[in-house]
Amino acid sequence: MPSYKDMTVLVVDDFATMRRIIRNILRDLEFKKILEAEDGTAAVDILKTQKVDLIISDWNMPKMTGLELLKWVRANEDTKDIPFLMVTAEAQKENVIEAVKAKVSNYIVKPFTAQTLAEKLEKIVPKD
Amino acid sequence: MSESSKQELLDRIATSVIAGIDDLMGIGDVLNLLDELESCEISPREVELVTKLRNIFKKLVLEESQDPRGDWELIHELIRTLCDNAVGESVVLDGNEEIGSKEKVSVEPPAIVETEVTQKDEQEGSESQVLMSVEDPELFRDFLDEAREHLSSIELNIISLEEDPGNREVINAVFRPFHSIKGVAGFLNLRDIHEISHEVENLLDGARSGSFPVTEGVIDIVLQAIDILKEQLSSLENELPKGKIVTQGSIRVKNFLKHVRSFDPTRAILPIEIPKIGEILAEKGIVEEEKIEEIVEEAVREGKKIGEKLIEKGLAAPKDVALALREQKHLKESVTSIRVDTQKLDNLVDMIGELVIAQSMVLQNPEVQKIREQKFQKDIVQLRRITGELQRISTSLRMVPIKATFQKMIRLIRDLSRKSGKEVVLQMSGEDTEIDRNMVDQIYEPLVHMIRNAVDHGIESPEERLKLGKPPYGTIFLSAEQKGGNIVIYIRDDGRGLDAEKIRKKAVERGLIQPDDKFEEGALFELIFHPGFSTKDEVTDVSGRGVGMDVVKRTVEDLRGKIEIKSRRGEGTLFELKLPLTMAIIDGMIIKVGSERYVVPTISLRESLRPLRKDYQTVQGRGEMINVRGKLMPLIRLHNLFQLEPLHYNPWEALLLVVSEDGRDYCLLADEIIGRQEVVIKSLGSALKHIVGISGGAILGDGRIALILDVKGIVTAFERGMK
Repeated sequence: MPSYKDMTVLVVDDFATMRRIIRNILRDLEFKKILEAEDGTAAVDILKTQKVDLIISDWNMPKMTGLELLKWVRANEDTKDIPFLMVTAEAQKENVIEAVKAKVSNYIVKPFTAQTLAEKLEKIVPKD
Repeated sequence: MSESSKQELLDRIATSVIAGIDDLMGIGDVLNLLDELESCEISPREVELVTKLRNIFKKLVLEESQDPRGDWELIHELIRTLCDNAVGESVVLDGNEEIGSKEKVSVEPPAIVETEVTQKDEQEGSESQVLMSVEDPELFRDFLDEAREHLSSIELNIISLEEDPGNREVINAVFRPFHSIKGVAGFLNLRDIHEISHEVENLLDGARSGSFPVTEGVIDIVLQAIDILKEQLSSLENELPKGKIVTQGSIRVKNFLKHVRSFDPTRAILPIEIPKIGEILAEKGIVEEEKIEEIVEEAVREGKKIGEKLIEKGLAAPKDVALALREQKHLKESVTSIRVDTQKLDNLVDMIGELVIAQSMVLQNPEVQKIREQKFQKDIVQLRRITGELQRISTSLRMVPIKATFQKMIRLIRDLSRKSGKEVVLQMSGEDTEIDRNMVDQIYEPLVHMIRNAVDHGIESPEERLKLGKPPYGTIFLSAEQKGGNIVIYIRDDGRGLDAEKIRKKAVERGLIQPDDKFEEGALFELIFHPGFSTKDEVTDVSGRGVGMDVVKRTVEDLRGKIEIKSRRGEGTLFELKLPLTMAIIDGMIIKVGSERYVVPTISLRESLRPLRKDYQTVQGRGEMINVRGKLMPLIRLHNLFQLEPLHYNPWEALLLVVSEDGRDYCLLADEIIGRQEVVIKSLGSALKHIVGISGGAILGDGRIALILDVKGIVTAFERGMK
């Protein structure tokens, strides 16, 4: 297991319950520093001021979507290498290619199990 | 693009690094390069290769590949072919070797394939699992709060959507909350909520992508979904403290899903444009006029929409606002119109009636009938055609669809079912049936009363219904149709039906009938129309106050209509309201009594017959009776009533008209039937208003005047004379 303890993870979702669900899983995976943003623009604000090691973002959000956030992250020198896990709905799976082209690290389809999330994270977070 | 940059792209593709099928970023790189390559001039063969590659990548990314290992190898092969062909070389590299030549290869393809497969298995196996334990009620509570917030935002936005259905932004604003609710409901394993939001999300997604416009049907579904979701959320809230929650299996949800899945959004495409709405809501009685003025002021001050403001203030349900908007839209669409004083309209209709009569008078003049000239005959046909058309138009001028009145009942039912704790569904049909404008206002109260009665006395409580094997929700059917010269409105419920015995007891108690009076069931039912009759002892909030069925009946009769009841114990009750098409003209049978002619409204007429001599009998205490197919009916001699010398005294020589009043049949004795005709009703003037047995006058086609019989008055007078 990579050492998640020292990593700062940013969870972006407009639905607080969803953020809470993800946060609970992340806690179980021993993440300690978990930041939350309720949409893309709020996430950008955080990314501008803080060092983040991992982004888990919902796709469908008001103001700035997950895809737009991803594009911003990849276009920005300070953030372009941050692993980015896109959370998407089954119905929107077809759009995943768009995210792949925008260089998403990986994606996960809702609803997912804690184990699936852990596996996805293992794939995208560089080990120590 | 130049050949060199194409070559450059191909080189980059050839040397790009994809660490494994999990390396989405690597795949993304190649996909972008392929896109770029496609914008260069490339051969059909190359296009084919690019397309193939793209499809395989997509399959791998979406984890839909049947054979990830094979596909992985295929990708390398395709890339090699693509790049080699372009440079004209034909060096075939071994698959492993090529991967080996990359700077950093973390995993070998076969190994990846295996982990991928096991991972897939695990995913599939865990699909039915609940992610979060239900023991975390906090999470559910959070969800409740948030979902409710989302729903109210949808409600506000759906109104904007109704006004501006093409607005992507607004569609998106409605779509997103459903999406979010669905996502979390999926995690919490709230199946019903998940399914509802999923279906609505799909529907809205289609609208968002422009596959079909946002129609009334779509908006209705969204509103319905909101209703059901709210219901689901409150039951969830109630169940939470018990620690056990129902997540699936609501019948309402099932029906809704069925409806949505069979819904074809491409049908019923309507252009939509909307102005203000306050008046409509006030007219419907949903919001008071004064309140609307206040709201309008506030809304203008705050720069908000009136509908939005009304919902915000809780003065109107989103559904009502949506309905009002829709109605207004229809009004706007229905060609330009002008307001005309109804008095003028009545005059016009009246004069056209006179014109028709005057025409008949001219044409029936013996001197005119002598004219045999062909041109004259042709002109007459033309004249008849024109007056006929005029008459038709003049009748239609006063007609409005009954829809608006019916729609008011939707809200009534909702309020009633809330107050009474019974679940009631309203089904309507024939809303487009047209009815005289004057009548439409007058039948409103009776309809309200009958529906109230149906909910209060007819429909059983959900528990009782379940015990009886009925669905827990009661249904009230409201329908209208044009039948001959009449409009018939049906109000049917599937409740407990009328209790004939109970009615008899009550009627005896009230002194309306004697204990030993013999009544048929139908006649007993008619007793509920008697003033002061009520089958329910306690006065409830829903009905049983103020007007009774007697008022209903009187209103209908004032409109020259009839009301009939059919009821079956345990199955429900049907009220049949028969109304004339218009108040200005009646469909009448012209009869002759002695030398006089009378008009009998066909609405009161059952049949006409000439009895056999043996069917005539005199019954002690009841007077003259006629046996019509085994049923004894009192004989009423019209010539006695109007003091005329008849052609025939014996019923078997004369003609009988069977009429029905208060559930009883009577035979009216007349001399002959002249024919059926639509006659224009003329008021007799105040001096002759209250003549027993006469309701008005009419001018017949030959210019003679005939009186219109008031069948009810005749029967009443007859009964009084018998006692």
